[in-house]
Amino acid sequence: MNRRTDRLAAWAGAAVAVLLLWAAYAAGLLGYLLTEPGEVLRLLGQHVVLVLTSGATAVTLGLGLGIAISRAPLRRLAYPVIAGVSLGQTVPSLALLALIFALVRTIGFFPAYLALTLVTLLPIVRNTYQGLLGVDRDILEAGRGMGMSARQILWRLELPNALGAIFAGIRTALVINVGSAALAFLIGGGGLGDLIFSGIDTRRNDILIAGALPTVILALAVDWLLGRLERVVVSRGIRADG
Amino acid sequence: MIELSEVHKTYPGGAEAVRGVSLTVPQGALCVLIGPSGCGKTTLLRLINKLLPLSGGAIRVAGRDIAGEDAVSLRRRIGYAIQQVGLFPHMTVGENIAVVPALEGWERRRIQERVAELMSLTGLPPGYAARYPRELSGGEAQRVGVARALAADPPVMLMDEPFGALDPVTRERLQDEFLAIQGRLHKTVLVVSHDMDEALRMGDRIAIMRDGRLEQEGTPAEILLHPATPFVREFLGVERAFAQLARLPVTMALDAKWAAAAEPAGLSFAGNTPVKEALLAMAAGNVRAARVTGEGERSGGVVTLRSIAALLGSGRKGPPERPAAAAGEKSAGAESE
Ligand SMILES: Nc1ncnc2c1ncn2[C@@H]1O[C@H](COP(=O)(O)OP(=O)(O)O)[C@@H](O)[C@H]1O
Ligand SMILES: [Mg+2]
Repeated sequence: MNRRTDRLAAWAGAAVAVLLLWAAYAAGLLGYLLTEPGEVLRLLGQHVVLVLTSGATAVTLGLGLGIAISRAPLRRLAYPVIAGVSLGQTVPSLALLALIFALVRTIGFFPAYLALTLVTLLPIVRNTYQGLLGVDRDILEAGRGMGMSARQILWRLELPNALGAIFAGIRTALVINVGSAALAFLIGGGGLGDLIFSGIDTRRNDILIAGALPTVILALAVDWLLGRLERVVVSRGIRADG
Repeated sequence: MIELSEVHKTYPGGAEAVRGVSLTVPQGALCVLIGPSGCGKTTLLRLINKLLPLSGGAIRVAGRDIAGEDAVSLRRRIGYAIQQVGLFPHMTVGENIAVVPALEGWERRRIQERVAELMSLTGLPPGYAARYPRELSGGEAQRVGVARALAADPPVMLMDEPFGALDPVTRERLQDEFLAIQGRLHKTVLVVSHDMDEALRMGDRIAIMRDGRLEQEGTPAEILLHPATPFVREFLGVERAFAQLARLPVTMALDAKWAAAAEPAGLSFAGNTPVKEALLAMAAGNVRAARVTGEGERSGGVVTLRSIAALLGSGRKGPPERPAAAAGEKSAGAESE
């Protein structure tokens, strides 16, 4: 994809978004958002905290687990872990939430955090593992032959070269995370889901929109930020657009 | 110095890749390891820097048995260029070359100087330091591979077909450049090749392998003049012998039977004149014999069309009438005295 069509698509998207917003405003759908911005901000804050904490945990754990099962001594574990991870991904977030709730038997932030971490973990583990496995064997042979230790090979060769795949996993995972965090309200975890579900319950579309719109914007923002970060962190020598 | 004694390697699957190879690469010498594909050349190199465990025998590098050495520190002292080049795609050319110095903890300034020095040594334009491997041609990538292997100035180098995937012109130029570098640095080098011309061009010594065994080892002249086995003879090839006339000095083709008293007048060659050049000049001058002037401890003599033909045929028919002094020890056939 070249830069020009990218930019064109971005402008077109922005134009459509502005048009939709105007239509929503005209239809009175932004009523709640405009009259109660404080409440929306409070819930957005909760949402962001959920995303950040569970996201950070998932990235740390996911990278660690993905690296661990790609090491020779633990590679036997890779198949069951990846299979388990894939199975986990087919379970709907809502079911996972219910499951966690049933297991920890409390409501509030903690079960929501736990469920979100799990949901987010899966793509990260899989992409980290596959990214590391996909690194060209010749590079590793050269590194070993030049006297790099196993650790230096991991940090200086394997991870930098797997970073594209790892970032793709993290991006997918965090976008899913932002969406799934809207379900946290169902087990007392707060967040923008509060507005979405209240809006559905009370048939107040302006309340629903006040929850849904910031959720969508947050997801887009997270994806955009990670895209920027990727451009900084992943070497130009291996980037598709380098 | 690299010393292999009775080295064996059997892969886990049961493939016997190396079956009892004993070989010494003297200090400061460049030895070309040559043989058909799959004969065990790469395996042999990987045994020397402990990328593979030995199945039998022993290897000494710089006098120390590698069995007792830490693999990582051993490899730091051995420059290694793998067959597939294997440049690190996420690092620039400069960073690739700097890998081992950085691992060794050199200061930044010293690393920068070293990178610049190596780039000029291997004929890479300074502007290339900021390029990434995917922005290089095959020849440029192989130069970087060689520069990277040389970076920390290791006394020993292992190079696996370092000029393998190049067109003949670029290959010859890189070979020449490497020889010029080697002429200044005098490293102990074991370089793998599957090309006999490359071996004759570059090697102080040549080791010929076949099916995991060493068929013959010696100086290029020894091998050309006295192929030890039918396999080596065939590997050299007769056309090859013609090509070699361009490389061997005319002192290799002296005619022992020519009475010293009856020195031919007219044509005369310096001792280091290639045989081919002498042959062409003799053909042009329509003479059957010419004088060769002495050089250093080597005495001069007379070269004849007959003695050149004998040298040419030596790949097939055994040794010439009087092998040169340097090639004396390993004579495969009877001397004609
Ligand atoms: N990792 C390996 N496992 C099993 N057999 C191998 C391995 N590497 C090479 N071999 C076998 O060992 C023999 C020598 O291979 P190699 O040393 O690569 O030959 P060359 O470099 O001379 O072409 C070949 O028969 C090859 O199939
Ligand atoms: Mg090979």
